[in-house]
Amino acid sequence: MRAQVLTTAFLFVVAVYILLPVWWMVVSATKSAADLFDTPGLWFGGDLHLAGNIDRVMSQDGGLYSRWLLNTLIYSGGGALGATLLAAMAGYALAKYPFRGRGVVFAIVMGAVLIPAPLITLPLYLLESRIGLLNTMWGVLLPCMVSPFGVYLARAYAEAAVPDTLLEAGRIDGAGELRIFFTVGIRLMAPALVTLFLFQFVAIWNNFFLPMMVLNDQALWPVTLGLVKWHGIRTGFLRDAVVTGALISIVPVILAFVSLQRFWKADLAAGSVKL
Amino acid sequence: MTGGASGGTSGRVTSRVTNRAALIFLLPFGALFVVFFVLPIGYAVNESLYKLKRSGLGFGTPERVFSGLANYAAVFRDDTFLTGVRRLLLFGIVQVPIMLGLALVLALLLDGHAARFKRFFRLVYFLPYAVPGVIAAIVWSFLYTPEISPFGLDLLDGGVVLWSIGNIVTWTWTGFNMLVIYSALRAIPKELCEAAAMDGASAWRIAWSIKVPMVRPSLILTGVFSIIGTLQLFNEPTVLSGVTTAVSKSYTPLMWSLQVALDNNDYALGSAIAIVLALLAGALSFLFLRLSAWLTRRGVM
Amino acid sequence: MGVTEKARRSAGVAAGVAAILMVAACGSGGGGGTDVGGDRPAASVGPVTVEWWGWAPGYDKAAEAWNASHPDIQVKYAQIEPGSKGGYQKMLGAVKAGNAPCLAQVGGETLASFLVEGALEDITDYAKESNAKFQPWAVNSVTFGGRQVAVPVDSGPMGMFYRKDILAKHKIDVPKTWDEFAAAAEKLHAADPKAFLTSFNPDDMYGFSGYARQAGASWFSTAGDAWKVSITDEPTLKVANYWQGLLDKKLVDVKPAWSDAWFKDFTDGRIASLVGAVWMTKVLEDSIPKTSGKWAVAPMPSWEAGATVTGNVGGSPNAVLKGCAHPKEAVEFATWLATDQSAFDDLVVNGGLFPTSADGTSLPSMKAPRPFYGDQPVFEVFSEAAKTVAPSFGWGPTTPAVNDAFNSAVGEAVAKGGTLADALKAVQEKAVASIKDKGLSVTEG
Repeated sequence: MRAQVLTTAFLFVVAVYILLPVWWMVVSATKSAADLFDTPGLWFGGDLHLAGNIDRVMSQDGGLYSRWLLNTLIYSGGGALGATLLAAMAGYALAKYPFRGRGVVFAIVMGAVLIPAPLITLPLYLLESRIGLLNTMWGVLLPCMVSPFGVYLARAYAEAAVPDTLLEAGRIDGAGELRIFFTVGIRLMAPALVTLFLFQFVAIWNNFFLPMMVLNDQALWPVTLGLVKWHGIRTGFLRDAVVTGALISIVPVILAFVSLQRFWKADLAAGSVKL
Repeated sequence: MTGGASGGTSGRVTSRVTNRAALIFLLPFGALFVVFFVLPIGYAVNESLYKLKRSGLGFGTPERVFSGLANYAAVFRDDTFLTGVRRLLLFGIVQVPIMLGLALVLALLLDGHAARFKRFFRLVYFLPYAVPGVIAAIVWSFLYTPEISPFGLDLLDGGVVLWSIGNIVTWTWTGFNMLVIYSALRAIPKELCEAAAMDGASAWRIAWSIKVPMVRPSLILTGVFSIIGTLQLFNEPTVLSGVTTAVSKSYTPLMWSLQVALDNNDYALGSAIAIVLALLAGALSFLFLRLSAWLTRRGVM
Repeated sequence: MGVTEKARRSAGVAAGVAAILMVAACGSGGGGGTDVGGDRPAASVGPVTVEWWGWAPGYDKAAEAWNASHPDIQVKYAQIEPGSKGGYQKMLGAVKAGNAPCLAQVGGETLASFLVEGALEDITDYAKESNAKFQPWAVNSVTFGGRQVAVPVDSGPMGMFYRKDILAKHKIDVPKTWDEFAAAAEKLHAADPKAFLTSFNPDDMYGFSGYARQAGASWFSTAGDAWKVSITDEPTLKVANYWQGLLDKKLVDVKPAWSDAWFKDFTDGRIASLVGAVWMTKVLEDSIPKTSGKWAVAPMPSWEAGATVTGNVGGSPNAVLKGCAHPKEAVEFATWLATDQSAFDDLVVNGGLFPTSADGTSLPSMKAPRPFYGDQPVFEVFSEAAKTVAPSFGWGPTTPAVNDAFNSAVGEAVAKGGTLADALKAVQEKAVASIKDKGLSVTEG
């Protein structure tokens, strides 16, 4: 009994720590720009200004914010979907086909996991300018579909979840390899692929450096880039819009997490004994 | 590997079919990987071997000349790089164990029987993962600035700002690491722990002697992630550099790399810094894996 | 069935190939901007679009006004981060990638650096006929080795912004010299320990250079075929020692420039004055609206009583970036922006910018009262100040690197108790090294 109280108390303290900045955001989103720094930060104060702030966020710069949200959905959702499919196929191949050069391919993929993303981003920017991808949605989407870590995970999942016997059975039935993958392989890997999708979704959602380099056109920006830019413009003093915009932007992601929570296996280390 | 279906070619995957199928499956990823990953790295490596040669006042057109490893020598000649690496090592040695230790404790508590409201806590801890790093850094920067902070502390002072950054990283990633470990804990067969409990082992003992060794791969994975993440520290100090002069624009090696490439328009040196950093990340991760393997052999973990 | 299947598949392949070709086609056409050659479209063929990047307040409205009256040349304006906060990075990157905008706001202190990076077009031929509309020094400041690379738009004569109410409350006269300023700082802080007469921004090299310029410094110059760096010249060290005195006695509020904390201190009356450039007029109006009506502007304090010399910070020429397909039109627009009477009247009102045109100080907006300053026509003060700006202050070819060096050295000195003089020595060394790194000739002085 004592252990239960103590444990729960400890978990509660950690929860307070985690929620503190979120609480500050919620409280601050209700304040006007003038009151934001003039009233106690952790409690409501001044006039209730939430509606005004939301209105400000939505109308600032000709209503770009809602466009940014949509873009974010396209980049994170579309990019993660593509990355998951590509990684699933590649990982499946690495796990299930003892082809020549398999070890080398896998070693390259593992090496790629260790490369800092910004090392890629700078030259990527110059490369994209040559092939005309700069300032296009594809310029962000395509690089985001390359996830070496996703391939590593998918390989581990395929090894664990797809029995060779089922594939053999499919082949005996005369099914082609692609067909076997899409009817048998991907189904068995599906629960793990949801994790992979969410993982990649957040990775893209977090990646702010690539869009910053690639996209000039404000209408193509994801919401993070837009908010950082609003934050960087001192003279307009858009603090109210930044805080409220940040809060609005994380709400759908939190909801998505809550609803997909049962899929979040996050058993990322499955098979990593061989790392 | 059932030997049953041995009837001719239909049962066995021939090497030709294998190679062809593998190629088809690998091609989409491989093509994008080459274009958006390998090519840029090749470009960076190539770029790092050249230097722009100007003369006099520099108003003429610069000439691009091969310079061998001169840019790499320049990385180490400037104390900015070594200062930054030292700073990151200090950061990593303190922050990573705190974060992973906390993640492990939380995962064990949520996996055990002693806690209540476990679903709620799990959800709360995971919440920061939904907040992009730059947004988290902006929000924390508001909380750190003495004039506008609700705490009334100066958390941006030169003496503490490294740990203020550590706090943002810990806040953002503890929940994610916890979930990775937690998922591994859930995969441990219940019978194992039950059997130990029957033998009279305490909850502590079960946690330490059974659970922790079983989730070792997860701990190693989160460890490697954290090492790579530490060396790539960028978003948080960049946001803080806008609100305190204690964080310069070359505070971490990656920030310096970008500053050199973008501010000074020296992509060659910027690339060289990033490449050295990548090699360092690889070397440290490798060392870490070796160390944990050694510790396992010695039965420490 | 097999046939249709096959047909469908080959159609799919064809579509895929077409898509790849289209991407490639976009690459050669849309990535554009690199056609530096002679095949520039004639101005008469359809409307020309000039892309324009900048951050000064008022630019957006200026673009709208121009577009309404010039259907043949349409300006597409994009507001980017201020230059030293990332804007310059973006421009240089865009130039390197071959997709830079035609026209961009580039601060006078960064022009030579951009030129050395090969980021600017020579606009001498397009600009020469309208140069008579500008003050001669302004044209000189954008001309390097006989080549003009930008159109001067505004300048940044300095003045002293101060809180009338706070000075009056503590019975402090408006300081006219730096000695009086130091005495006032002491008096104010003694009367109200939470308040400071002014702030010191360790990350604001440009502001500091304005003080140094007033004292007679010039950090960069050329001697023959070599750059000369003099960041530790005697006037600069005089200024450094002066601020060191205030810092040592803790009489100034140390804050990063432009930070929330800085503006909060202004709002709360913890900073009672700011010696800064004219364009702060609008920044203060926008950033600390709660203190409206309480401010006033006086001339910058001088080193010797009666001998008025004024510093200058910034002022942004607009440069034609490398690869621009319509340099003539870009220059035409920039010249209009800087010299058209109603255009610049708008810039004064909306942006707080100060003209470089020959007849700029006779603009009606110069006499306009500004409510934030208790209806004082503050531009009249700056018009007078502009007449006494210290002779030209040179900038070098590596300003971004020097700026970064200043921020870390001075930031560290202030945070850890070093001296500004030592920090400036470090900046001098880094500046020389950065010029050497570019392969240029350099001497110290």
